[in-house]
Amino acid sequence: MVDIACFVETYNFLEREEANALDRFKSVATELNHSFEFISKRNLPQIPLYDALFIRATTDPSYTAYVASKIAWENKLTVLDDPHSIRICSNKIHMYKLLEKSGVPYIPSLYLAKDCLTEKRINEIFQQLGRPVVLKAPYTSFSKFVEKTESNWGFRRICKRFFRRSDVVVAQKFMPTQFDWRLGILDDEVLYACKYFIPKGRWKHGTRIRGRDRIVWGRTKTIPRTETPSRLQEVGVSACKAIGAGLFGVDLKEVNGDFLVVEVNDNPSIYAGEEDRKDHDIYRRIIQYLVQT
Amino acid sequence: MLVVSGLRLPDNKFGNLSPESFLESQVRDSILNLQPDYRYMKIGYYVSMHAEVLGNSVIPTCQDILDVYKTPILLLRAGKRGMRVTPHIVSDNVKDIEFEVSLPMVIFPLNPFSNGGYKVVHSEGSLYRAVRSFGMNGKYPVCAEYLLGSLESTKFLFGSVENPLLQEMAAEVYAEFRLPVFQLLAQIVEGQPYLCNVLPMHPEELTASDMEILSKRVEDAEIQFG
Repeated sequence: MVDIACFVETYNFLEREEANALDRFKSVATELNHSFEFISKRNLPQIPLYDALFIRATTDPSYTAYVASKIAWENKLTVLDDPHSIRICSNKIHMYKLLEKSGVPYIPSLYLAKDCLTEKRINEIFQQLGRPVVLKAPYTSFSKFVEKTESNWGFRRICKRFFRRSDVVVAQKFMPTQFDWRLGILDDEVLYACKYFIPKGRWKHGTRIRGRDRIVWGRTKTIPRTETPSRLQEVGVSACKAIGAGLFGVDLKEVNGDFLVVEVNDNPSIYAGEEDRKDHDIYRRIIQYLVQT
Repeated sequence: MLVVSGLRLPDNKFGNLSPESFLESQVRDSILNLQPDYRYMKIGYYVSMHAEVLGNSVIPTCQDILDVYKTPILLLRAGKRGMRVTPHIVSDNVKDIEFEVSLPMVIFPLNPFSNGGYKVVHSEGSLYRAVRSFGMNGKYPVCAEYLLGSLESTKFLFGSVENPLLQEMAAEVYAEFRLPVFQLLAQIVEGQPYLCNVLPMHPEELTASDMEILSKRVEDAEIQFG
């Protein structure tokens, strides 16, 4: 029997689908004769008492989930997501540079350091990527801190906001599509596949309603993993290999019959009735990974 | 070896590149990343990141940067190396903290927006306020350390410190984490130093004599790359 700790925060239980998915992880682990306990930031000192740690809270080197992951790693527990994956996926600049190094196709991107925010550099970026461009803070998650602009003034205004936390930001070519592919990949094998649709009249999957603190999400269509294009799987798996080993959610755009990586995310969201709709074994495979490695 | 630094070293026989120029480059060399502030997502962090992506050896590594500025991880790794560290607990709950660590204590924030501050608390009321403010109303835990003796803060330059009592510990810290510049916080208990925390340094805190020490130490750093 393996003792698995699942690190969560209170927000993980706010949406019924996410709470149900966590329950399914627990029941699958129990069926396989393993213990599965939810732990929070209050239980960090107890992490070394477990055999494996499964993180479900938002990961970022600045957040508590990273401390949990690192404590587990230093104490030689099996851990999803491991500190290395968190470090790379939580910083999009690090992630894109590794994709570039490995020759994985990704959205054309340029980087801009805080001290280089000049009119000349802004013009160069527009010249290379076209208008509009998408500006992305390296710490983006759930479509937040990703904005589009076609003016130099807007470019400067967004960058200044993003520079409050990061000294470098990403500028990307604007490539509108009806949907983004999401591949859930574990240990270099595709677990599930979805299409994340862009809401009508918008340009990204999660969009904030003007003047309100609420995000509207496009619908999700799940596709059986065996029915996805082989080139899509190939690009998705090669992106994960460039980052490390573990559980990743790779977002890709289909452009002119080929696939470009938008992002590789550690700690991909798993909602009951969405990501698991066609491939029901994802819970079992993740628990088995935690137990076997 | 190439030195990447925003600091103006008075005497540097190695090439010196600004962080911004280095980030645009494809230089293949051993990189000494010399900055007063290496916090996550600051320019010092990106220099080490870029060096690692290029496949260069770099001092310090991204992993060490992240670990050193996360108090519980710093203490965990230092403790594993056999260094003396202060008894501590990570929690967001005042009762749990009081159960594990007695007053007085030093409280360190673990929230993503902190900039190296800390609070010494002597009463339950001040502990409650520190946990609430550093934890941003329960959103993040804090690291509470038992205050056993006197707190000493000192400039750390390549493992050298002014206080001779802390010198041996400083050398151990440098051997483990290899961050060249920061403020070292330690407790002196019955003449023995205990590692407390590591804080970023403000560039204006570096004096002309500190810059000379850094210049001399840069030459030693080349040996560390082997």
